[in-house]
Amino acid sequence: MQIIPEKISTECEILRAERLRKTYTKGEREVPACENISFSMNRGEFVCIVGPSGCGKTTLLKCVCHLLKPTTGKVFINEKEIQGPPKEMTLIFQDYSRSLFPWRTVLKNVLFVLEKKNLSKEERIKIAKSALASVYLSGFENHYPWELSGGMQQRVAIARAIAFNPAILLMDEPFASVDAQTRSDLEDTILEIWSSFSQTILLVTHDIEEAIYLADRVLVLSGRPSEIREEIKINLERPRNQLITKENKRFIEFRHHIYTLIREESQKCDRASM
Amino acid sequence: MKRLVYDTRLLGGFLLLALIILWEILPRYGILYARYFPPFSTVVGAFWEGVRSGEILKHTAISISRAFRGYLLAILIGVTLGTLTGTIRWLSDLLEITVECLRPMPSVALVPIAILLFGTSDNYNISIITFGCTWPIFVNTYEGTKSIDTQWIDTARVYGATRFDLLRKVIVPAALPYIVSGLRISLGTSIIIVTVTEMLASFKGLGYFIMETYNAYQIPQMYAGIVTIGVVGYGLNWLFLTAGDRFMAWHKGWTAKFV
Repeated sequence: MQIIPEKISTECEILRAERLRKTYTKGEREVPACENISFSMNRGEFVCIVGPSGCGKTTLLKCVCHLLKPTTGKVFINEKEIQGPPKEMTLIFQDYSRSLFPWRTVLKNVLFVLEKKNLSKEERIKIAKSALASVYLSGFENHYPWELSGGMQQRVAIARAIAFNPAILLMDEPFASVDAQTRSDLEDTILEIWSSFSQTILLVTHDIEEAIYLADRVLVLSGRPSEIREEIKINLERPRNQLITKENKRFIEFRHHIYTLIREESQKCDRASM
Repeated sequence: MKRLVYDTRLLGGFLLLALIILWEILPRYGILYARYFPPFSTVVGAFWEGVRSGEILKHTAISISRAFRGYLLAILIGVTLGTLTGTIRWLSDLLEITVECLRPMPSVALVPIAILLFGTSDNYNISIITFGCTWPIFVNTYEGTKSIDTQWIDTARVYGATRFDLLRKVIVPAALPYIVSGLRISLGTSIIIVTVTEMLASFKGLGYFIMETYNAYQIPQMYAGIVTIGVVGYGLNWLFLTAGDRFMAWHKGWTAKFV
């Protein structure tokens, strides 16, 4: 294995993506989805990626966890290059209805992720139940996912990820399919979980306010093929609050700045496709 | 609405009853030729006689046993082959043309070959039942495994599922509704084929019983045999649906969401 000396000095780095590039073959042509993306994350950091719609955000996340093999580029966890989906990492999908298993009850959906772990049956059920409790779903263990509302289903998906207890949690627009009220509730739930389980979270969204509200750092992507356009440190104090944080003058400045960037990028995209 | 459905069902029961009454009356008043179409009560009498002497029960047991063995073998082959071809691309490419040539073949066309191979032993009936029942199970299993949402697979993979885990915990459960509908079609097919093969070349079983009583001009007994097969088919289908409902409760609820 190749060791890059200057990188080792950053002790708290947990994840590093190096020059990720993914192309699809469309007939004869090679269509790039993302191009030359490099970033790193520190342990316990909350990073959001925003970008214009259709800029290959989902592809990027799938490459990071190696559900898709990147065309070129590497991903390292704790300085070790990964080959397939690593057990230190999991992904929460946007479309909960297609990621929960309809033939399993809520509890059994959560237990699914514990079946590979060396635990007794009682321990598994205990972990699953406490994960469900942390997303306020106690009492729904024996329901089927399709009996619950959209927001509750996404909570099940979150509980499942918590029970798996990965060092790094990836989220692909996890709140895009729920209504606005549920959305801000879920944002706060995620922040609570993040502060109590001290995970490292990488969340992709097209919602600028959501990105600023949640993140320590925001990466702004350019249009297709996407590259990292700018990296913005969000130095807003925690714990954050849906009202107070969003009324903060710096919050509004961040929003203004990122909004401008993204609009430039999507206009560039439109011109390119004309 | 519920009340109406209930009433219509009740009416359906009366319809059956009316048909049976017609069956009783028409021959009695000479509208149908009673020698060829004996009244219902005569058929019931012949049936009861056959049950008491053990004759009908013996043949029924043999037919059910043959159908069941052929059916089980078909499940084994159909589900295994369907899952494998549904998940392994090169295997489905390899087998596709052979399968498409064999599948439309009427299974009873194979009767001579089966007799050459197995004589008139049970294996003759079983091999043809298996041939006929495998296809619906195979095709449904294949379609079921093909139609699985890739996000279920992705989800299982990010939680560390191996290939075998994917098969056991995602692909088979997700394809189960399709598999079950294949099983149901084949159950009916197995009854048809066991009857036909017994009619053609067997010395036991309900199909044989029907042909034998026909040749001996024992018309009421012949009808008793025909009715018995009908009842067996109905009973097996009912058992299947009852068991299936308990098994597939999730699927009913889940699909009801989209209707």
